[in-house]
Amino acid sequence: MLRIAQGRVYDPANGVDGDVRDVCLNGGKVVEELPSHAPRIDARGMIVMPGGVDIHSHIAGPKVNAARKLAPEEHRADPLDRTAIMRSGTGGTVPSTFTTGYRYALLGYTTVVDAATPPLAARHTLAELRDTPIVDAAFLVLMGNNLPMFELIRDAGPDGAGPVTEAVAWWLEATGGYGVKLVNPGGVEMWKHGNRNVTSLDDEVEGLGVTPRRVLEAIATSVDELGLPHPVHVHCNNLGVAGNWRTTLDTLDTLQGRRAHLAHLQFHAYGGTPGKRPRSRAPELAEHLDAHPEHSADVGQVMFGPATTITADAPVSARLREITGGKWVNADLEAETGCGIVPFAYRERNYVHALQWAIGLELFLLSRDPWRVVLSTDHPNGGSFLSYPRLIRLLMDREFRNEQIDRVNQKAIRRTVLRDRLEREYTLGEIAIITRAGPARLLGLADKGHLGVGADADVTVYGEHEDREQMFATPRYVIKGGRVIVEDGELREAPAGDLLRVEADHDEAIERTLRPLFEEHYSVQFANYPVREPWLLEPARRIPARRDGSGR
Amino acid sequence: MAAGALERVTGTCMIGDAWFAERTVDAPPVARVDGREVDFAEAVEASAAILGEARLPLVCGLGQTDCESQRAAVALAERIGAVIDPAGPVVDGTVGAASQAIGLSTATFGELRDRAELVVAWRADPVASHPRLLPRLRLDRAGRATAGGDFDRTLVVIDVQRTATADEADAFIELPPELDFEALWSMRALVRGVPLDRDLAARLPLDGLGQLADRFRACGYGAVLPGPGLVASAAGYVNALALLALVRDLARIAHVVALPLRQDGNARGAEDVLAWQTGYPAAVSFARGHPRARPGEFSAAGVLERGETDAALIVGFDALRHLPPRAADNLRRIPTIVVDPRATETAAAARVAFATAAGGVHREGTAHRMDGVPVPLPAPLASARAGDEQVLAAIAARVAGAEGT
Amino acid sequence: MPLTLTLREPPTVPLETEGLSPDRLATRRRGEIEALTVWHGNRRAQLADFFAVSGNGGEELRVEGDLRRVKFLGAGMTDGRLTVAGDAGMHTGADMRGGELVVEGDVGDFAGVNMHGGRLVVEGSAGHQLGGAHPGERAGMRGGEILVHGDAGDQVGTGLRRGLIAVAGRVGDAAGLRMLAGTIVALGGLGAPPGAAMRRGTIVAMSHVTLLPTFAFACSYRPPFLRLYLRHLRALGLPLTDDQIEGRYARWCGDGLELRRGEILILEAGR
Repeated sequence: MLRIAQGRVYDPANGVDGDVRDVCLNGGKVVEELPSHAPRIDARGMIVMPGGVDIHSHIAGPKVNAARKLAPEEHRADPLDRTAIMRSGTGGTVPSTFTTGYRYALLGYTTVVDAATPPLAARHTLAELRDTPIVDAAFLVLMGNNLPMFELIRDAGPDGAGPVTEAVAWWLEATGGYGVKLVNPGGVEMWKHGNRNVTSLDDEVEGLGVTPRRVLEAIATSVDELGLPHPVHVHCNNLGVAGNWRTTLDTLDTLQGRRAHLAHLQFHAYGGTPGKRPRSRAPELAEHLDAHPEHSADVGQVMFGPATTITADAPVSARLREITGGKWVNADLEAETGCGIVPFAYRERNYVHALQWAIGLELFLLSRDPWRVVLSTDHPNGGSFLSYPRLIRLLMDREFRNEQIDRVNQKAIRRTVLRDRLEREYTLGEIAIITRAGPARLLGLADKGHLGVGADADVTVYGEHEDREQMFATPRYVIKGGRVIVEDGELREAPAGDLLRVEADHDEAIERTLRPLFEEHYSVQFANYPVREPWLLEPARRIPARRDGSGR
Repeated sequence: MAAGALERVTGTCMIGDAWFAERTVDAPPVARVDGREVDFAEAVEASAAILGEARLPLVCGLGQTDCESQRAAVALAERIGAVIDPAGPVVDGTVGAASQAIGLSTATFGELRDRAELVVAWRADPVASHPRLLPRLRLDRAGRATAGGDFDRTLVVIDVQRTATADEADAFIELPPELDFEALWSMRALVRGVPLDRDLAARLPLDGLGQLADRFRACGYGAVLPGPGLVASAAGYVNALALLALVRDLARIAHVVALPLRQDGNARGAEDVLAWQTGYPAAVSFARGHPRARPGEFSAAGVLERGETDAALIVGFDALRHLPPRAADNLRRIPTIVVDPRATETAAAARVAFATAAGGVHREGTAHRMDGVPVPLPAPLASARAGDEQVLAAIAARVAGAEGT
Repeated sequence: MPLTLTLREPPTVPLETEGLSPDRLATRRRGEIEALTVWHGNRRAQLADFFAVSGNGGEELRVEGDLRRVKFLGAGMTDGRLTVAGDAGMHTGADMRGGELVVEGDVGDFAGVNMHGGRLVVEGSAGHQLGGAHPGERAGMRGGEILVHGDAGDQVGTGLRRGLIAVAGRVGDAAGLRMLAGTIVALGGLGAPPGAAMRRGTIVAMSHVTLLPTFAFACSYRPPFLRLYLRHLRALGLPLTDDQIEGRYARWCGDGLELRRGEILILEAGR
């Protein structure tokens, strides 16, 4: 039992916007009332929000681990000691698992989604999540370059996704995944055909009889048919290429009428022509999103300083390799996906980096519906999750933002509407939307991101501070599942978090279809593919899909 | 299977049969201290006493146990302030260390099987070391035409002398070991059109290397399999660096990957677990309460050779047989705890020896193949013994109890 | 008498002592010095548990005893003079920024790694990765001088960006690996392959060297800057002959796989 007494509560999902009231927690849930003798936190003068929810991050699995191995110099500079409650570890842009859990919690985040797990490597991701304490975690399963899936899509014909839908549900069940991710659909497969790519939605994936557009349509339809809590999560084709905003619009048009979430929109909002200097098309994309309530995005804000680019979009990494001339990892995963890693640094004086930074801010500041354009840095691609507080300050503090705008490459700024000194300042209520209520709603996590009765007792309490960066960097209290995890900026305990996985039924007959495809494409046996090990899958919470055609 | 014992193992190769046999016959006593058979608790107590007292214990081996036990080993190493290093670098080479300098292009086996038009085994002899590999990749002659799709596949072997694998290959390039680096470096030049000094290159088989460069140019997807002879030798690190640099160069003209062949079945898992828990894949010291890593300083072989450790916990590794002689000599001088399902020379010489139920035989678990793919380990046989994970966890709990935390 | 730390007996496991540099001890009182933290393996201890402290502070520090298992002697020092009377362990003079560190015996591996300035003199021999880089870092030593009177191990000057490493004896394999600039002088022979992936900088050898075929012969000449360098080294006590200082050198450019702006200079026989 815990009463968080008399704080200013921001619970936008329930229409609460800074009202001074109590939040009562019991049995891991928010409850209506508690006896007056219940233990309490005196939150007078403090800000109370639901625990943070990160909709798009890279925290676990083979890609992240390959990036860790690549960064001994970052880890050497940022070691963490073992304490009575904490395992030791290392930080940097790609922290070790324990450190990832602690640092997210210390930042007031209690739910994190790893945005890209190759299904074949689900065991690895699950094992890392087991070692990522405190936060509840889910992962999205990569399906956009999957050869058996391509065959099902090719054979499905235009009118129905039938076996594709069953296969999507089967894969989610086999892996313990939460939702479906498409990364450069078709393009990663082409990368394995002699380093090629696709450049439009109608490019054929050589020899496989599908196009990016077919893949997008089929998977998005299947996800809607299954009524998965989170819509298809799309990393569009042509990431980072000047002029790619047309591909992004084409993707959105293709998905019209179907639910879809676009990942790290900033990286897909460039005008200009390929190979030339990009310019901003953020206003057009923001407008388009505003007009399509079935679509949403996270921003993928770039923050100046060190980053590590980790992506399933391996051809993008090969381009970055040519820019940095530094370390580069490529890892092809059979029948399913690729992986590329390049350590990177965003610099204020660099035209492209400054433009990327500015486009992210444009997307935030021009979007009219914060529920559908939510915060991310695509950790650690645009910057570490530790930079969220600074990003929040950029959104909330116009004066600070304008100072920063003056520091960066002005040629880039002139290509954006930031030159007009956008007036908008995010309110605390809006920040609560883009960092918890919005992501939770987009994820379909009914118990997260709000403080209504029955919600998970995940609460963050901030001390009021004029400097919003400082305020959001060091919450006074973080409560997870009703337990006080952080007190005065210090970790008090570090319990395990839950695995959040979807529950979507499938027709078992799909296995008869899948088995021969597996035998053709994989080097593991079909019987060994699904994860069954209880120590990898527990403790888990199942979030049901609603397979009634209505979506949600 | 008959009455809980194994009658016959099917679907394995000779090496697999031997692996299975080592773990299923002549089960030694569950636990021994100074050669005396003791119960489990006493052995745990003795282990905790040794490790709790040690000022720089070493935890090593790990490549032949499951990921769950590796996870427990890292936790224990942290608890006792140990240096932990998988046997990987000693047994399997230095590609991991070299990749920290320039990265790595790699792939899983299924990709090689279905796409690689050109496969180059560089000082690797998988026919002898990994008998199932070439048939599985459909690289053996009989299977080659049936590989996923209709393309010609070429196998090229580079080695000191003709090997069993070379006999299967389309081309063989003979190369003395001291020229590995120069050959890799010259290949880079040939691939990139950088001029070579003909006198300086006179010792190299330039014709063969030039043809190989042409083959890479002409292929869509190529793969290099470096063997221990290239990357686990004295010059292993620089050779690995040259290999990875070559693959990076090749990756600009074709889709080219490298997949180092490894001996220890779960060496990759050991690296992976260590990396996710500490940020470093090998040679980690917890002595000062947080992970630090430096190959050369905290490698198991280095620490032992210099006699810097005062106790060792060895998991699934016949260290006395595989370590360099001086390291093995020093290992004999310190108290050791061995956790291994097998009756090894190292276990026989140990102060405390646990004979465990074997992962993949008696206990379920997970392992990472050398290409990183995680696979479940089945437990076809039953055993009343503790597995490696349980032994390591029990020792950690006892050490923690003694510390009062 | 300078401030003197005398190791009572060799530690059973390595002793890590980052704080032991003259600049950091100069202003401290005896009791403070005795209470400094050292790490004996996984145990935190006080300096006085291992060392007897005598003499006065000031700009000079002397460390005595069997220090082969003592790591980080003089690491990060910025000023003053540190003398190690005997052999020193790993990381001696690592991350050094200034001052002079003289080791009267051998040093272990990683000596002078990531050095930024100052002078490290090794009267005996050095181990591997002398003047090298920290793992994962592109650049190694960025300034200062390392003089070794004996031999040096493998991978001397990996990632060297600036500064001078001079070895009177033999230099091991793969010297100047991925070096960016700076100078390595090997008076007593040089292992193979030197200068692999070097971008700029100079490696000087006084006898036959097996070069990589990606190096190209440029010319044979008497490099004026080298005379200055070598005279400087002779003044510092390295055994340089007039023939070496005044001689003709074959200049090889490389590494062709990188910028080809580096050079390996090899003394030609005769004059």
